[in-house]
Amino acid sequence: MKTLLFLAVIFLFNSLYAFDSETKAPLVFTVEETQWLKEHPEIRVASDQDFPPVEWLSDNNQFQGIAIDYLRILEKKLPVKFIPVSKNSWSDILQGMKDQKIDLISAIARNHTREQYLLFTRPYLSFPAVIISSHQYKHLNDLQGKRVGVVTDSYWDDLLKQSDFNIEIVRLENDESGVEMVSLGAIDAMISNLATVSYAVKKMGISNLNIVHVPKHEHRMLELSFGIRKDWPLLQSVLQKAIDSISEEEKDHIYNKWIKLQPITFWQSTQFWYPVIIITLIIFIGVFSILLWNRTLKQKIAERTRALEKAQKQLIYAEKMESVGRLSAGVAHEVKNPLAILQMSIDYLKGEKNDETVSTILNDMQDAVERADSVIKGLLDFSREKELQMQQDNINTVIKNSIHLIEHDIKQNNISLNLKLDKQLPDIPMDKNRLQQVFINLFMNAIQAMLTAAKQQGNINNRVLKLAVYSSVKSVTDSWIIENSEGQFKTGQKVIEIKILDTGTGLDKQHETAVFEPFFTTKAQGEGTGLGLSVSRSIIGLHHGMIAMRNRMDNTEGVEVIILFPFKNNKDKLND
Amino acid sequence: MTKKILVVDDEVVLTKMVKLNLERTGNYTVMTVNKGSEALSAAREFNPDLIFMDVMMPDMSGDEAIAEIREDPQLASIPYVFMTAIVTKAETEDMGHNIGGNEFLAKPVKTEELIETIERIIG
Repeated sequence: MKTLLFLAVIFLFNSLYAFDSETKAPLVFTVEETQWLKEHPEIRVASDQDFPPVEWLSDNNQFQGIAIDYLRILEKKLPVKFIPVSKNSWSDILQGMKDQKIDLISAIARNHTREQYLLFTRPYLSFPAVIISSHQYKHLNDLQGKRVGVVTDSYWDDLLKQSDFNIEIVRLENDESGVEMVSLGAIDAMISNLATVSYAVKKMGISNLNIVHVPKHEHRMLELSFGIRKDWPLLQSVLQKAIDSISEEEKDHIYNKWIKLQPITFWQSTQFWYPVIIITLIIFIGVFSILLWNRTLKQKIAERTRALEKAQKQLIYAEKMESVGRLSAGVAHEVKNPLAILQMSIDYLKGEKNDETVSTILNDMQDAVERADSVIKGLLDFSREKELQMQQDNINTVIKNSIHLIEHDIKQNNISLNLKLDKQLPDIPMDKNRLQQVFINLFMNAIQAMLTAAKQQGNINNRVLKLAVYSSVKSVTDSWIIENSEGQFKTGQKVIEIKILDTGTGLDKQHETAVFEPFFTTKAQGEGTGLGLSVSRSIIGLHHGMIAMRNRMDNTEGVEVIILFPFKNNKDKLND
Repeated sequence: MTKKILVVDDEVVLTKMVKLNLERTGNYTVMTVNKGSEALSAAREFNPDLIFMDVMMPDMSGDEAIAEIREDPQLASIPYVFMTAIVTKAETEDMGHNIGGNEFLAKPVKTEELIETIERIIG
């Protein structure tokens, strides 16, 4: 009910408005004009049946639109009656004009062709030209070589016909069919005017098209005038006077009535989307940066954690070393004196008359004393890091010397030796004797492990006892080694690598790092102090190298020991 | 004529065994004391041809005892050998030089090593 009342008020307002406009100053005609008007009370008018919102035939077979409203106003201002002439197509209308079966066209754009058979009022409607496409065509030039639709015989049709654009013109029945074809991709674009195209697009609910104004300098406004048969100049002047008398408010009223300039909903406007896109982008960049930052933080934390773990390990190791040192000095004194007494006593008893049993016992005692003494010596060696006697020398030489010193053990135990030493190995600064100690220790460990394995297998002769020693210059690639070097060596770094492979018992996985701890031993009681590898690691460390041990990677039972020294070529040495 | 050896060590049993082993050869007369501080008077009394001196002793260390002995002009030329329980051979070489020692032996020492050392120095 309220809605009805509201509509009624609007209607009343509109009527008042119309009335008001009609009260404008009366028209003044010349004598000839007045005479002509008397002689022509009825004028045949043709309108386009399908040119909304300018003019079109409604569902109840009535013409309506902007031009029709203009006709109604003119009809009130002039003593004439406009008789609508029904023509099915725009082409028929134009033909009717040529044949003078129609006196007036309610809306038509002026061009040279039409000037040949029509007179025109000054334009009373103008719409910008637009390109409709699903692409981003912005200029008429962009349409070169494209299939472009225009409504048959429309202003645009004539325009394109006369122009030298290289365009394949597709003639359309009306704007709606054009919009549909563009939307479906049957044609690349369509040229029309804003008003009719907007109407068609809205009516069809199509949303995938771009409607782009043809820039003004390239042309172009669709300007619509009344078209008058060529032989009726007086109708032209009369109509022009009547049109001129229509107030601007009235023109605006008609225009707004048919072309509803609805404000664009906020989500359709670029002013809305630009900030949204920018904000989204900023948020995205922000989130991305945070993620990136997070990642680098994580990496840093991991690095720091690794460094701390390493420091902690070193600290524990240093503490162990220190306590071993303190302990061993005390133990040495307390143990060596009793050993000295035992030694002297054994010496004494050996000099007495003994039967065979006593002699055997005395020999065993002698062995026990020596064993105990060697343990003490080892402890003292371990606890005191003597200064290194550094000299330029070759690792290969050290390896060969060490092998030479254990040759007896190798031969005695039928161990085959595979020695592959890279002759290109550069000399490096080293304490030859300490490194020799390391290699002998490692070789003896290998031999012992192989003998143990053979013993466990029960048949020494069947077991292949093979000791392999390789030296080479290479780049570090093994991630296990890099991990074990705790940051000392990096991927791709050039190093001197020594590999010692045996066919011994192998290593329990959890012992890989433990083997280098002081007092770690898998040997039977009395066969080792558990200090050998620990001392070896210290010595290698003093040479800025690393040592690591793992089970062999070639499916052979046994371990491989890897020793790396930093590679320095002669140039570097000179710069040192 | 037997050679006179002074053995200074706080280990009583050790000095006793050294004495037994050396004297049994018939080539040596051995005097033993078990305190560093008694070394000087023993040296004056015994006037040894060579001294075996322990390093770590509770009342006076071996190097202090040797220093005392060497201050006596009559005893200064007596050769001496340190015997030590706390260091290895390589380390005690340095130590011997520092206090002007000629020789050292790391415990436990065998009788034959003792004899070799004596013969090398005063043989």
